[in-house]
Amino acid sequence: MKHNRKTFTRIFALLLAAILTAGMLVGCGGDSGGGSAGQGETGRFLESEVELPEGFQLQTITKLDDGSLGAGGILYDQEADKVTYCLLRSSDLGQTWETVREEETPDVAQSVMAPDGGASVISIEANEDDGDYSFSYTLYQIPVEGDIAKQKLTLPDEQDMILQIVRDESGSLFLVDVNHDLLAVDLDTGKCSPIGQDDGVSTEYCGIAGKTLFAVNEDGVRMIDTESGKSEDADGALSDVVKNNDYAFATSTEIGLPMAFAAGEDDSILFVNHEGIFTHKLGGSINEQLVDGSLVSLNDTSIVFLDAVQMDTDNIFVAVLGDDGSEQLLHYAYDAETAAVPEKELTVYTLTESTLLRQAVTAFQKSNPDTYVKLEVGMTGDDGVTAEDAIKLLNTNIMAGKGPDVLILDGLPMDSYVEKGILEDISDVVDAVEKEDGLFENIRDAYKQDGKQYVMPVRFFGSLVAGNADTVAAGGSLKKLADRGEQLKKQDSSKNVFSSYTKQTFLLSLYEADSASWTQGDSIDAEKLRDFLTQAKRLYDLDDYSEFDKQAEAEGYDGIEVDGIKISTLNGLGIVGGSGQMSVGTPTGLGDIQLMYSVQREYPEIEFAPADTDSVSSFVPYLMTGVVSGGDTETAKQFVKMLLGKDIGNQWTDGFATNRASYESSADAMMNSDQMVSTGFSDENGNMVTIEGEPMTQEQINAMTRQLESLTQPSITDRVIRDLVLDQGLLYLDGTQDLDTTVNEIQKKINLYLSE
Amino acid sequence: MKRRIRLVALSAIALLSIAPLLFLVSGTLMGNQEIFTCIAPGLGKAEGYASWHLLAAYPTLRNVVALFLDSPEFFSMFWNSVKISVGIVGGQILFGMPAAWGLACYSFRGRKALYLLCIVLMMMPFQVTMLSEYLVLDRLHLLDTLAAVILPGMFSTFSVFVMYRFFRSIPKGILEAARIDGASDWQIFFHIGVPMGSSGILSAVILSFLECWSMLEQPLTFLQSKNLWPLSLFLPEIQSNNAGVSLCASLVALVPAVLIFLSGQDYLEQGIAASAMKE
Amino acid sequence: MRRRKRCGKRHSAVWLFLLPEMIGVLIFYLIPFADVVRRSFSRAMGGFNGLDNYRQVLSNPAFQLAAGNTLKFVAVCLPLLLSLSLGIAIMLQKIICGKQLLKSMYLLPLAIPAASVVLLWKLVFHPQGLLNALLHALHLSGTDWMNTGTAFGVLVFTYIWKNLGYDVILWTAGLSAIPKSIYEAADVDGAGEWAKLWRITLPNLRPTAFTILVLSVLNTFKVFREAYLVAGSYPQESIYLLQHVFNNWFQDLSVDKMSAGSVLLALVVLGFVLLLQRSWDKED
Repeated sequence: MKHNRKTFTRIFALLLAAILTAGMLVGCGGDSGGGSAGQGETGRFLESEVELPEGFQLQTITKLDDGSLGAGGILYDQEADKVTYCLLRSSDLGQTWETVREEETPDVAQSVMAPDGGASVISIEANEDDGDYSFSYTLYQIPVEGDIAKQKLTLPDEQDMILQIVRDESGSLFLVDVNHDLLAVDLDTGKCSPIGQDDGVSTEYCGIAGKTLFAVNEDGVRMIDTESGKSEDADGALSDVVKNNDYAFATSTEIGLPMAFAAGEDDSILFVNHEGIFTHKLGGSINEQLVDGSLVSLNDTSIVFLDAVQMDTDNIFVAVLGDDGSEQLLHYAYDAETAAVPEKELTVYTLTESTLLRQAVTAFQKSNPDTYVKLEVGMTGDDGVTAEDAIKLLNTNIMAGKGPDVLILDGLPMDSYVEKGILEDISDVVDAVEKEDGLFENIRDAYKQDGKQYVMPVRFFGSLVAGNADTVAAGGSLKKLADRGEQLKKQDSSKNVFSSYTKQTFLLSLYEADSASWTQGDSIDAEKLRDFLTQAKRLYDLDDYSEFDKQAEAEGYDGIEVDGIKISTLNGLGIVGGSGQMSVGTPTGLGDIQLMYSVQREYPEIEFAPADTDSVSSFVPYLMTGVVSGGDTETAKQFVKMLLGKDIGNQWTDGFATNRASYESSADAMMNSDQMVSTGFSDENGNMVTIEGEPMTQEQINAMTRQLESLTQPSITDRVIRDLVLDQGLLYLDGTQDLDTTVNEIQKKINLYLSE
Repeated sequence: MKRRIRLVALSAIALLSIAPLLFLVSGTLMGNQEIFTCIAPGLGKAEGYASWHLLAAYPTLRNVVALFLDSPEFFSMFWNSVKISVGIVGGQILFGMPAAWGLACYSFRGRKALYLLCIVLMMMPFQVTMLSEYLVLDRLHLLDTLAAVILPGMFSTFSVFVMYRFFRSIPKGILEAARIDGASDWQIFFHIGVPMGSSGILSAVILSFLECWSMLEQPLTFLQSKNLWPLSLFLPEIQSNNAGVSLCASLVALVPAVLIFLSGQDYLEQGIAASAMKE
Repeated sequence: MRRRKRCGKRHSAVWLFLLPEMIGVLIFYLIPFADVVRRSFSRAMGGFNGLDNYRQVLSNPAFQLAAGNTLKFVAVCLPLLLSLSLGIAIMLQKIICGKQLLKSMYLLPLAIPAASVVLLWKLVFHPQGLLNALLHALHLSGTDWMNTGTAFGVLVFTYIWKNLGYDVILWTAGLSAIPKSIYEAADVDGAGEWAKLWRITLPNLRPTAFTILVLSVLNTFKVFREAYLVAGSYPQESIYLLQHVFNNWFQDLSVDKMSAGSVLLALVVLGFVLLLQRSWDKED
């Protein structure tokens, strides 16, 4: 019996081992992807921006037959009020441009240049037929000199839209349409028919080099011979680039590609994405990285690519489209003298991802090419690392002397770090910013300690309460709000009282308004905590959150994220829309305030004011920045100065900038009637109501500013405390736990935490 | 009657012991929907009580398929676990075995002290030396490589302790006889000690393997690149929307450990038995 | 009992056997530990601090709670586990068929990685979990197992569940080493079951007990893993153990306190082992 079992298990084990090994071999694909820039000690491509003529909207670039750089696009002549399609040429790598030809071409959609200097331009005309929109496309072939050939295009589908046009070396034109088809254009008839897709493979976008089309879809890259139409899978290395990057195959119907392709030197293909510029020798198995995206602007995830061209081994041009809608032509010139990788390295650490921070990193990198700026994100969100694990790793690095230079303290044990003395006193930096641009002193003061300053938030949010006049008057404390809430419910029990999204955002919005008042020396005032929970429950019980919760559950949603942090938002619109009669929350910035005022214009009974101000006026800090001692504190301080400065601040609208100049510039934008946003909502009867955005007045701005200046205490951002209160609080709200137990639990655990 | 009660009691405990295994097996064969319906209350997401049934109402192999075909990282993690475990156990045999032998069969000054040191070191929880070990590994440039986990593990005094207990029980007469016959220390060790101690060695190996297979703290602290992570770090992430695959993964992770254990159980018992003998 | 002679005289070859392991232990265990000791006398970021850390640690309420819990845990689990496993081993001896199967099943929990089991534990002990469901069906009231004092019991249960089989096997081996002749002699003398147990079985199991004790204490430290995976960093206070404190101190960069605490722990363990060794040696 024993013997049999032994043999049995042995055989079973062998079998399993065999299966698993087989599976493992299948699972481990070839490892491809960008190899690191093996350029030796010196030699690096340096980025510079090419200045384009005023009013020129770049669409396509190419290397011309005579070796010069050609660019095509739309030219807006403001003075003459003329819109033309323009062909440009530069024989000095973009320093000066000459206009080769200008033609008045209506409604240009896409275009592509030819090596002889001419261009094929697609013009779009929208036709409306009884509520149905369709587009008709006309192809204009504009040579350098001579007549323009015009051809109407017939697409396989009436409702079709063209997304991209490319040209092969023999002059044939190819399109990618919104149905993800690759089409070949018959230049004689204008008929566009599918090419290279016999097996039903779709194309998201494409690139072209010589006579080969590179069609990209989520499974990888396929190469299609433009003459024969035959398609085959591209080299594994190329396909892996697409497969390994989530963004690499997604497009929208807007202009711009996630990746741009170009013909490279010597039978290789060049491609550009956020990771950098790479070449791939056709038939080979690796991609060689020429430019590291993180050292230049390419890393900025808010840009999309338009086109790319490799002029020679030392010069590459990339056309990109920025988030703000403006095109840029970037020139990458090889400099053999510059170090391959910058000697100085600056590490910036943040627990959660932040687009604002990333932009700051890119900007700093650009203006400091001798420094390699590295952004480390503790929790990227896609690999199951918890905040604790990330902090543990961070701490180990700090103790080992390998810590970051700049630390973003959101979510980190900030008080401990200050206490242990690992942060530098940045009073000098903050003073400098204050002198140059001005700061919200109240925010700054909250972080001053014994005359020193270790931390400064870059932005902040304030909690507001919205509702009608009586409601807002009751906004001074949660208790009064709860009283008011019950009153409203009595008046009309069919209406929702509190306008929120889910119970998580509900509790969070109250927490943010109230938590600052709980601090009592080194611990938390249990009475205030109990009061908070009691009032929250009273308000919560007035409404039915089950529908929202079910929906949120289904969508896997548990809070509104602003740039990586979960911040609740004020649902002022919801009030007029009927989803509630009061709302407490943090508006996402001046934009929301402007919207609220616009709403107020139509619905004057709506008011709003800072919430919970009876005990303390609080704010929610964002991107609390500090410099770690012992590293390159000089460069780190420069970074912090830039982060707090107005150049970065101006680009961002979430929250309010602590930098006054930044704040004022946003305020100006709100008063500028050119930049109004309107919004809409469906009211109780399901009708769409639109509210036109109105510019804010100086008085309104001033009122807001005064309110913001009155906020003095930060809401409790300590991750452990916040999570404890929210987790336990939710249990109390939905009835799983009673008040005493909840308060006890929270108190015990917080005391344990604080006593450690 | 007494016998029956005895049997029932023992069987009940046995059943309790293997309950989690049954849970994993039955869960693997269930679809996510079914699992979710059963466990949702237990996660606080629904009313009422959680439930479970051993036989799936709608059995499906979807989880198995999803795991084996759709999760490439599972295999690389599995492979990492194998590398780590084999590396550590191999090292323990290479270094720990001779050390246990030396400690057990020779008397010298400080023997007792070393023995006590062995036990004390064995008992220290990881948190105690975590940071310092990290710094040492960093100095040796071993961080973020599998060696950072394998090397410290190789020298763990736990296996030395287990093997020591067993070597102690080998009759000294045989060793004396061999020595008189002119055998060198090495020959005695290799030709007598090892064969006679094989069940003890194997039991140390098995226990060690089981420990390595479910090691959590060391990989988490010393390995940064996700592609080096072993299976034990993959498992704690059980979401409610792919519970079936997670359970299947747990089960599969379990399998090598159980197999090794089952195939060596006899040795394990012998080894444990012998180590329990008076020294 | 025959006395076994110490084997062999002093041989320099001994060091060859010991050296590789000792070097490894030195590099990866002793040097780090020396660093810990050094840190226990310094401030977190460097600088001599004398005994201040020790003072802080000993007066720290969180540490006191954790130390108390850990001690309580060991004091409760050990006797429980040892007696339970002994009882089962004795019962197992009298079974004839199915012994092997039962033994395999008992040993299985040892092979199951903690992470695999965590979901099940969470499910069982949740207020709406399987255990309460069962109790509900039996018309008994359940409670919130993990968030009240019962969490301690849950942890004890986890520990026993995992280590039972191991100890059963150990006892079984020890039991089978006792010659039957002694029992037969006792029967002839008219000794009862209880007397036989007390006078014969237990004394003869002493050496086994030493091994079991050491290993069981070792395993009590390992239970932190389960506690952490199920209940997080700040669990119910009765299962707040020493490792929780160390873990959290590290999160706060309180490396100074952590080092002092670790040294204290090492001293206690050393003391315990010495005590054990001495009381065992006395009997030899």
